[in-house]
Amino acid sequence: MMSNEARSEDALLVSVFRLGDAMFGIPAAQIQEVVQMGSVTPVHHAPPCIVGIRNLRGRIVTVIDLGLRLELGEAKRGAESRIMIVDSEGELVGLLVDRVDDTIFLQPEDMSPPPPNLGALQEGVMRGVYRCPDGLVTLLDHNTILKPSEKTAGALAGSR
Amino acid sequence: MSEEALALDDELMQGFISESREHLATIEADLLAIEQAGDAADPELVNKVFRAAHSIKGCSGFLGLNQVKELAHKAETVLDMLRSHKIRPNAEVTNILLAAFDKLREMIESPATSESADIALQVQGLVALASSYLPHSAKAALTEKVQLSAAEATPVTVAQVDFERAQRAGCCVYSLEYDLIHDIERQGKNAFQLFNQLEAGGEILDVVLDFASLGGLDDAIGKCLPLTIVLATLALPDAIGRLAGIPQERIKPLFLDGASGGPAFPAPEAACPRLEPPVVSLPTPEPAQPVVQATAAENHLPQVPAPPPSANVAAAESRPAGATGASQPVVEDTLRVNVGLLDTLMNLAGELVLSRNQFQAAILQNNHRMLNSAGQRLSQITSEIQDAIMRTRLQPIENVFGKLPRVVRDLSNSLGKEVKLDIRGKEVALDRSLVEGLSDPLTHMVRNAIDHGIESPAERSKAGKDRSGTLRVEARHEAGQVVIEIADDGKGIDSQRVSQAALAKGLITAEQLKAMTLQDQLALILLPGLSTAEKVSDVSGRGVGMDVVKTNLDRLGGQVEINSTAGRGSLFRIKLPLTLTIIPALIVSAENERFAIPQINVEELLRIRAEETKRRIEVVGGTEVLLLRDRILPLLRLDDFLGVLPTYGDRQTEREELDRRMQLADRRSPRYSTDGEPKLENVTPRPGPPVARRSDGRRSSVSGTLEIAVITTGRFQYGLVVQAFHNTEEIVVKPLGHHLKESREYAGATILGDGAVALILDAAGLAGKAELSNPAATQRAKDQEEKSEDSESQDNHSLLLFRNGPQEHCAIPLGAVRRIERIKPDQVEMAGGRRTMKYREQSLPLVTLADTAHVDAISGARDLAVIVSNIYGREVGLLGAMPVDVADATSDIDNTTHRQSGIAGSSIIGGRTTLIADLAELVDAVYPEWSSAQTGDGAHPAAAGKGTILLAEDSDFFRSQLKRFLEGDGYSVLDAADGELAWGLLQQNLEKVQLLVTDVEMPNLTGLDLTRRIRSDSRVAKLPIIAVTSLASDEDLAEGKSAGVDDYQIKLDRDTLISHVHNLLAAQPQNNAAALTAGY
Repeated sequence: MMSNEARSEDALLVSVFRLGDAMFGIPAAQIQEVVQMGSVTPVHHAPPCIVGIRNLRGRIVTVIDLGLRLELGEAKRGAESRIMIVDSEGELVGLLVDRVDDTIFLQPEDMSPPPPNLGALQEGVMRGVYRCPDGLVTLLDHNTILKPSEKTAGALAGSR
Repeated sequence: MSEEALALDDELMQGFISESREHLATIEADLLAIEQAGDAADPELVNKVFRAAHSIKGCSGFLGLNQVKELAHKAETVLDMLRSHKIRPNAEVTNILLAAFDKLREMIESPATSESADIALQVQGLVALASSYLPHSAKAALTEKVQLSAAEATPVTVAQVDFERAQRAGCCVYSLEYDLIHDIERQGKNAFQLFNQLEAGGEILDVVLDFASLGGLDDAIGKCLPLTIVLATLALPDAIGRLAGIPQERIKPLFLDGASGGPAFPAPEAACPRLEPPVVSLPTPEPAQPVVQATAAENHLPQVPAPPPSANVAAAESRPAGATGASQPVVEDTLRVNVGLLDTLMNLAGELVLSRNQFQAAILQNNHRMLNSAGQRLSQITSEIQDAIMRTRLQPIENVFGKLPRVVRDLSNSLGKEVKLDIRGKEVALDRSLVEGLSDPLTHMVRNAIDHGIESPAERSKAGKDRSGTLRVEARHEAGQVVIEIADDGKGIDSQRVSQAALAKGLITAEQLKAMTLQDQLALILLPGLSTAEKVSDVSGRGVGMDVVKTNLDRLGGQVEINSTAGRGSLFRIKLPLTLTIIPALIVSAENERFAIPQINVEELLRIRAEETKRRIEVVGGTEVLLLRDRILPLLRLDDFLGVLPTYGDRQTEREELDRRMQLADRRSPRYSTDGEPKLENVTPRPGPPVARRSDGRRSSVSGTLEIAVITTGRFQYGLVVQAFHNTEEIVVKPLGHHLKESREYAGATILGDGAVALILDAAGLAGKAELSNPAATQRAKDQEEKSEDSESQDNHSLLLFRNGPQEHCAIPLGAVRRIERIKPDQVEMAGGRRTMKYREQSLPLVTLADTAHVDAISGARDLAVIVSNIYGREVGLLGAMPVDVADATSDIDNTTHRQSGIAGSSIIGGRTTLIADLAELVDAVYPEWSSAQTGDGAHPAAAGKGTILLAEDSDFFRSQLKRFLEGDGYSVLDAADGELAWGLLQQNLEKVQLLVTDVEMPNLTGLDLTRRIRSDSRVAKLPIIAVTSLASDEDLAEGKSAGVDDYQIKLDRDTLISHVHNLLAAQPQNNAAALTAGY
């Protein structure tokens, strides 16, 4: 779907996915696997962006709605929605997204810094914006997404 | 040098550490035992401690841990003097030795830093101790060293005391020259093995490893690494050669420098066995002054005059009070496992592979039967593996209890109290994670008991008690749990002071306090922020309160109960699960999702039918409470609790309403149990109006059938209302991710049989979140009690419902049920024409209603229920078809229409005629020999014409049952339907009635009132009275006893009732009638 010819040495392989109209990427090396929504058990009284927990071959995975986490509105739940499983300090966490597109190489020369007008929840999670043939891809820092910082405490920490 | 040594062989180092741990593990207990026994100390025990120090010394020297070696050596010297009775074991000696071993342990746990450790204090203490027992001239020998040399060997330096000891024992000293690389490592041996081997024939005085001769790594090949061992032995050189496994020429006798041969070779008459120094004290040798250069030791000992021992004791005692035992508890990352157990596991793994193959074959062939049998096999192997794995993790609680003698000793000494410690059940094993987690709370509770509980000797004698207090610490297994009790006979907890302190600190209100029971008040000490210590001692002021104990135990899934009697002592009872990772849990559903509740928290399950809800459930102060027998429990509706979600606020109103409607529909439709069969929905129709909800999502009225799990957790007790109960399962607890760590209402998650994930509810967290508070509930309870006292009391009997034929609904009184097992029809076997099944390696006899009664045979059911009960002291299972259910039956049991052998009667439950099984009669018919065996063994006197029993019972069903029991055993029975009628009958038959069996709850005159009336009437005051009840709590029993009841029995437990009737009558030998006549 996207061309990845003429890649340079420091090109970064990322998985591209969509939330609403926007495209995002996470370094492919960070993603353990991509699974379908499956059966997610909701956790009542959990922070709003937590969809629930899911069984992944005997391990319990916390599923986070990346749309809500990034303040972009709830991720779509449909045939195309996927959960990207990432390893967070030895613990598996799932990120729910609208749809997963492709794996492409991002060239460092295509990068521009993240736009300055970001909300509190988005600050720090975006590493840069890349121009790609299909449009702009925002590269995310999955570690920051998963670590509740002071700013994101409201969204990730308990809401009681 | 030490760094090289450290790098030398990591494996050896690990070996040394784990071996030393083993040595050190028992030392405390041994030293304390030695101190206690004083002069009569078991020489073998002293030897054992000595050998531990000795072995640590030897190995550490080899590994280049010189500081460890130095301290171990000094300890060894003192222990040797102890062994040869030169030092008498007493508290001072023990203190100094314990301090030394503490330091040793600390250093051994972190060998990398041990070289820089400061051991001056401990060494000083030991040296001072040793020298204070030695004649002045010998004192110098303690720190001095002597140099020994041989013809062609490098001279070695050994401690003078060691050398003299060897000399006294008649030993010769040899230097054994090994090459570590060629003689040991290349031979596949290990240096420690060699040491042990040599120790069998002598005593190793020193080990010297010469790294200097080893060049760089490159030229290591072909080179040798000389290891010199200085061995004192009685053996002659050629025997040593065999023992040491090296050629003769490398064994060289050592002599004191300058001495010409003499001293190292003893005169033959001085020879004596090495390990058993003569008890007759040696001619306490003014040891020969070192003939030559007694060099002042090049050790780190400051040349200060040895302080008097007492000063050292103070120093040793001044360890931080918190550091009981060693330093921090060592969390071991390795575990010793019994080889047999490992083999079992290996076998099971093999079995597992076989069943997987069987599975694959079955799937390929699409063979259903084969699949079934593979499934069964797999399930069996799984539970065996689970069991075996669990056993590998089990550790004796001794690992925690072992520390307590030291704690008790140190603390009682410093507080000037006398405490006898009584430890029981050391062998009880539990999961290692629990053993580790138990250490702190247990230690704290023991300290607490000594600090606050047990009084000083003076106070105790004033109170007429033994001067020394007793502290009992006991572990035992009880119903799949481990119970640990810490009991002292001290002054007890002043509940008054506790509650006043709680009041003063605003932890409770005066109103709450008024409503609290004694137990509630005692439990207040578990609240954070409450300390009743009037003065902060170093013990109670350590910042660890009982609330921390509680928190720790909560984390382990434990529960604490406190009992205390002023002036008599206190009892703390801790209940713990055996393991944390696999627990039995009850699966329930709410909000259409399944949840697991740990079985340990579930006290009982109730179903309240719609028409009873008004009577059983009240709304007090905006909270629903449940009347359960004499208790009042706050209710927590799981649906509502989960439903009131902040996240739901985000949702659109429409959607929320949709959710609710779906739920309502769901509530009215037949529910399904997990096996897909409709549950006995019809048994309990829900005639009430559809559940109304207020806009805030809470039900506004109490209606509909309620499924309630009574939850107990520490101080909280409440009823959890759920949508439905499912099965109980052994679940594997998995932790939640860190994003959910804040959710205290969940204890984790588990994966159910169908692969779905269920959250595990945390009973305490849930209560905390729902802001249930027991003191408040108790207040409500009190209000309720007053109300309910004059309300009509009626017998309610819980029945276990099951099915026989597809259309036959049957029931058995729940009180008679021990447990229920779910089995497949093919597990039922026939033996001798009777049904039986294999259960826990035993054969469980089975009966069915069809054995005696004209009912359908069980057929077509996929799952059978085995309802296990106890008849004539034996277990027997009643077969029924799944699913089973529980319902309350009111007293309208008809005992005529459907009465037949094996069926006691019938009742309309949920609109269906339900047959009520009479298990005892069934068993009598199928196993007639059981009852004759019971009566034949002389337990019961001859049956005929035994006398007359008055029976008061308002329920027709129970009255006829009880009457049948009693008449069946040869008594005449006068029966009455309430207390007043019974009183009337008694008046008319004063001379005939020999015993009263009475129900407690009856209209007109209750059983207890009847009892009081009888007890106050001189004519019949001595009449034996047995109260029967369906369920009895401790309070019930106490109230009954105070009213004058002789005995309490559970209804329908025929065997026990009959035997108690016998016993009571036997205890009243004189003819009651005669006594009564005399009373006129």
